[in-house]
Amino acid sequence: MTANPAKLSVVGTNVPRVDSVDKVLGRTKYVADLQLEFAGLLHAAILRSPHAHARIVALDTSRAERLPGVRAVITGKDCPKHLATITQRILAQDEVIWAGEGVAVVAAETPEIAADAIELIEVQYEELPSVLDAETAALEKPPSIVDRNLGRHPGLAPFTPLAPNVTGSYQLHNGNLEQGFTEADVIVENRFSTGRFSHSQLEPAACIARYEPGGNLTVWTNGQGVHIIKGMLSELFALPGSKIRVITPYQGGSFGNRIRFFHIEALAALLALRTKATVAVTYSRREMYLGSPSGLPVITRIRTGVKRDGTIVAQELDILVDNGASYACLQDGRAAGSGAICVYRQPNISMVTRGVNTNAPWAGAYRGLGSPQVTWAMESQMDILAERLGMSAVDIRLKNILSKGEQNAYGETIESIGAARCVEAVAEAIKIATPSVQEPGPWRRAKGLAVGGKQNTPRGRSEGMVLVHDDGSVEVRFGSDEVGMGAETIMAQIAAEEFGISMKDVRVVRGDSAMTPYDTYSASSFTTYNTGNAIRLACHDAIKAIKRAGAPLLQSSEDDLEVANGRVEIRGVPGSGLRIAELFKPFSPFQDERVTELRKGTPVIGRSVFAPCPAVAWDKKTGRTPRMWNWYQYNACGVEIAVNVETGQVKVVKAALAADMGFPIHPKLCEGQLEGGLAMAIGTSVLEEFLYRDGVMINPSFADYRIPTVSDAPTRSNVTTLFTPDPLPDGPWGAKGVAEGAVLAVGAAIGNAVYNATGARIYDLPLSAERVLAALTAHAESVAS
Amino acid sequence: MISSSPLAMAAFEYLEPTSTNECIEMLTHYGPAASLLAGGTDLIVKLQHRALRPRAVINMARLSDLRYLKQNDDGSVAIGALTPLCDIERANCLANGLDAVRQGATDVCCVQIRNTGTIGGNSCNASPSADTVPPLIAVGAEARLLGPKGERRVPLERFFRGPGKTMLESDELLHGFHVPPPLHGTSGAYIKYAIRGPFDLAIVGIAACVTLDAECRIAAANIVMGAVGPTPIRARKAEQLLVGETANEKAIGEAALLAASESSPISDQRATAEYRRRMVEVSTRAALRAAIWGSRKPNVTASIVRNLRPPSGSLPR
Amino acid sequence: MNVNSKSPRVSLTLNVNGITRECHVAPTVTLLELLRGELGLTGAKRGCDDGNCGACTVLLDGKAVRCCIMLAPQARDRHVVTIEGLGTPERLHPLQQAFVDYFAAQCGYCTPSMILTAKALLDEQPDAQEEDIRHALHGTICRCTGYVKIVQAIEAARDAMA
Repeated sequence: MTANPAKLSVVGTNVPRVDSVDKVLGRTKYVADLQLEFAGLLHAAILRSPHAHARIVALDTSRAERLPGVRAVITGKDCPKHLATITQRILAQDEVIWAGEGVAVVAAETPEIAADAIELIEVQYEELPSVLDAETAALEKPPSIVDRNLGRHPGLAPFTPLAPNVTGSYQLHNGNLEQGFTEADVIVENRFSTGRFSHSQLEPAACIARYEPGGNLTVWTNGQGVHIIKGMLSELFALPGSKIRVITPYQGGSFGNRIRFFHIEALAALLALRTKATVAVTYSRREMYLGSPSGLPVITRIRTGVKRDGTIVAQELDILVDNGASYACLQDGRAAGSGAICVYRQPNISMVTRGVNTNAPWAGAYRGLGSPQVTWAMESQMDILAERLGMSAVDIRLKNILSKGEQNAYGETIESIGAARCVEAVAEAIKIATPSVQEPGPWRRAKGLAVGGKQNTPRGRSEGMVLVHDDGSVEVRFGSDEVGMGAETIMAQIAAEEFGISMKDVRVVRGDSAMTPYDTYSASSFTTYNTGNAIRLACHDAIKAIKRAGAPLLQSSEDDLEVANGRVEIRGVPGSGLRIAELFKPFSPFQDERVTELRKGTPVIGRSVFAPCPAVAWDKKTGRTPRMWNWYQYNACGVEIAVNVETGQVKVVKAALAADMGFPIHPKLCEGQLEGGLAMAIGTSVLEEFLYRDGVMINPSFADYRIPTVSDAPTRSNVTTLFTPDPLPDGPWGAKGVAEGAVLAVGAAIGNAVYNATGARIYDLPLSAERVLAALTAHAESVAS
Repeated sequence: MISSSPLAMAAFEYLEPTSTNECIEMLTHYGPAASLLAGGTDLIVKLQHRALRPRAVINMARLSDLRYLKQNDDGSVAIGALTPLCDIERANCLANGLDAVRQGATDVCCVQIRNTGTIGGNSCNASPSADTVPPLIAVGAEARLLGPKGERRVPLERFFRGPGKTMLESDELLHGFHVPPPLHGTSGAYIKYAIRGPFDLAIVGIAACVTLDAECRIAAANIVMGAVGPTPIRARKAEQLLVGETANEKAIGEAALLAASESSPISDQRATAEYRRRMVEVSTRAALRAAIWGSRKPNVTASIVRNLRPPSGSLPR
Repeated sequence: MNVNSKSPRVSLTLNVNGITRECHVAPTVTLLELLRGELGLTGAKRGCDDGNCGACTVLLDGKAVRCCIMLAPQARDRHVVTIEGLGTPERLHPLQQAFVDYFAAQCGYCTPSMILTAKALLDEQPDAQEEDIRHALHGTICRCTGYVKIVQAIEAARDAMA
């Protein structure tokens, strides 16, 4: 599959994005923009629980129902009680299990009436004990059992939870851990944690569901994965898939928030089916915090044994993943744990991962799926070890990073790993060996670096479809998402490259379950690899058909033909061929329409299915398997930070990110992911945190949940992005993914730099100003005494 | 109807008076059931969240006589309540001794808010973290309140009664501020401390105005602390410590410590009380340095990790 | 618009992108809702609940404002410029062209607000430097790009417009 990159003309170049012009003109329609197209649109409003855990004693919606203009009021009793493939309830039944859970929803003729109606609903709660601390929730006897049906959800494989709130567990054992620790010269043990944080994509979750005569349902949504959502709706409402159509217009970011966050489509569909009208459900920003998935808080206990030369000889990990009130996916903590396995050689290792429920909004997919949180722990630990050994941060990492052909602790053979070159590249870029220049005043500067890896999650197949129209233009169809990363541009590039044409002759149709072939959602850096391979194969299929049609006309065998520049030609004989358009013959009553392949008005359709090799179920005792995940992307980050020793603020002054993305299909789009990931990770590492009082989030707004502004990112010339790709054998031209890698190592790089600046080691993210100042104060006191 | 959010205001009657007299008649008629609309940057948010449900919203946009910004012959400055913050930012008549007011306006959120928000609205909204309030108090501003019985003046220091509460009666509006001429040798500064920079609400906001005599001794000092109490707080003990002292780091440091002890912060989603108290000390020091030695440190922009010019002991401007 | 609102409607005339418009709306309608719902100009976006993200930014008499926290009647007799009033597919405004050329738009949700905020800045300060650009963009949030290419595009547009 890997071609010589030097011969590429479109792939690997910085073509303009196919969606840029509409976006800068403001013509791109997002879901809420479509509302104008629907006459008689109803609007929804949701009543949400103010308590983290409470019994619903009484719920009276009668006054709301009687308000003129209200067309439906729905509570938990009106909802299908289960979803086989997910576990969240759409609305609370008799108990609310997080502050913000939906209790009732209204559909009304105007947003004002819907808001008025919400105020007329009367609810009586009996508050129950709640638990928001993951370690407390994981106890054998926790103060609150979050999900009383854990392990007994209909349609899911039953299991016996290890503890009332523990949603699952995974264990990996390799080598001889005890032996390893006896051989270690230095042993270090620490506990690291990360806070709860939010994707905070700029476009709030939104959905429009239209009921059509005959009981058909059409849904426009900024959720991810039209076929996945369609499957969910089909299952939820016992509707045949043929009656459901899901369309995703351009999405205003997601970062995972809109993956398996099915409430909004389910509520919209439920209201549409009930009212037999078109219903819009749009979340407020507050609801995005209270009622949409957050990222995963992770507690990592890590005990590491190393030899004097830096070799890791023993590694013991306990990883606790906070799933919130429910789990959207990967409830056993295995995904987070993967961050600990993919970078280093760890011959003697024991890793236990667990997922746990707490009375907080459920946590789901967030850029990195837990790897950044575990990387925070691993890479802080590596710096701690390096200092104990008197080694440099670079040397200890290079000593232990896996090489291609080796096996990692799972038992997977590494096919592609650019991690070492990533480390070297950022170390050079920030000149880590040269101490920072200090200025007078309270800001202390220092440098730090870190490296991480992220798995690509097996999600099955992508189907590709490519149409060649009778004018020679090419149309690409695929069913995954465009959340802003540039998927449509990538697929168009691939088609342009395969057909040897320019981007202007390629059209993209995406994200419509009636029009685009099966695909899953764009998750886990999936799209370039999975969908990209599918599109490439579909192009080959279409090209074969074109050659088949051209061979008799050119009196040549198919194998001697070449398709490029809108023509099909005999290889090596320029000018010998035909324009593809000429292959499509007009109708003639004297010709058998069934014999000649190509007719005007009927495009050539190339189809494909691409699927990575299947995963292999892991050994029940050891957790080992030759294939847990599909592949890994790697990323290193080097920073120079400034810490204000009077306020505790941390500023990233310079940053370098080096990415192993296999092969950059569009270099500028890769840069954009690295630059964007840097800012996002600065947010989760330094600024962002869900804050709670009595189980209720007290900062559910952009005012107080502090996502980075331009002032929180380094200046333009102080951000360096570097490519150190190691091709993936079965990636398109060797490409893997890049978007999640960007956030992996930033937190640890910053934390290491803060330590280097101040001598204060902090074990918990975010490195908020208060936390840093407290650490500086404690450090000063311990030094004094 | 197109809606991008489930938030929807409760119904109200909309009024647009064309003169201040007409406005006062409306206020007299509706009393506490009316809300006055200036820029709207605070009011509209409250309406959307239904935190406020006035029967009537009175838009002051056409009251052009409330929009003025002029220096009088005696050096005093008259600032109309409806003057947008972007005009305050650029006001030449607020230079030198009154610069803290300009700095406060500059530190309000971001350019879009400053283009619409008004200096009168900033006071009448009475958020404890309002940025123009400590500087106005520090320069001795008076609020001009206009009602059916005419105008009365209140020192701005006494205008605030609590978060969201002022001395305005329900039939009064804020006409503007009268700022007395600063004493010769006065300069001031406003230091806003917030995590992301001016975009955030202040965790602590300190205005300091210092008057120095010819021997570089502090003849007068006003230190006003915002965001660390239900209303702005004068750090009187800190001020008294400074008066008569030579302007130096030691005096500044002691005054800053005292100011912290005079603050009365709470813990909320932005910061804990203990952290606020510590930041009072840090920011008061910074404000006094800036007032005395004239370099204002932009607080938190990443591109500008500058430091205060270390005090050299030289004479101030 | 808000047909069932109990608020008596208000008539107002305003100029939007050079065209005089007469509207008759409930006063509870924000300027954002008027632009998007009444006039179909969906380029300005809603990203938050309290005027904190800037995705709604439009120009009012040449100045950048957050129209999600303005009542529609506040725009009476004033000039509003939305992203739709800037450039055409055949002739993009230099800022729009620069955002295309420098890949400054990813999901695109903040793009109209970034462009308009930058336009207001460059109209007033044609030689704005990076520090000025960062100052002007301080209150306009982007979650995708990390701001690097946005600043780069604005600098390029500045140079092209000089």
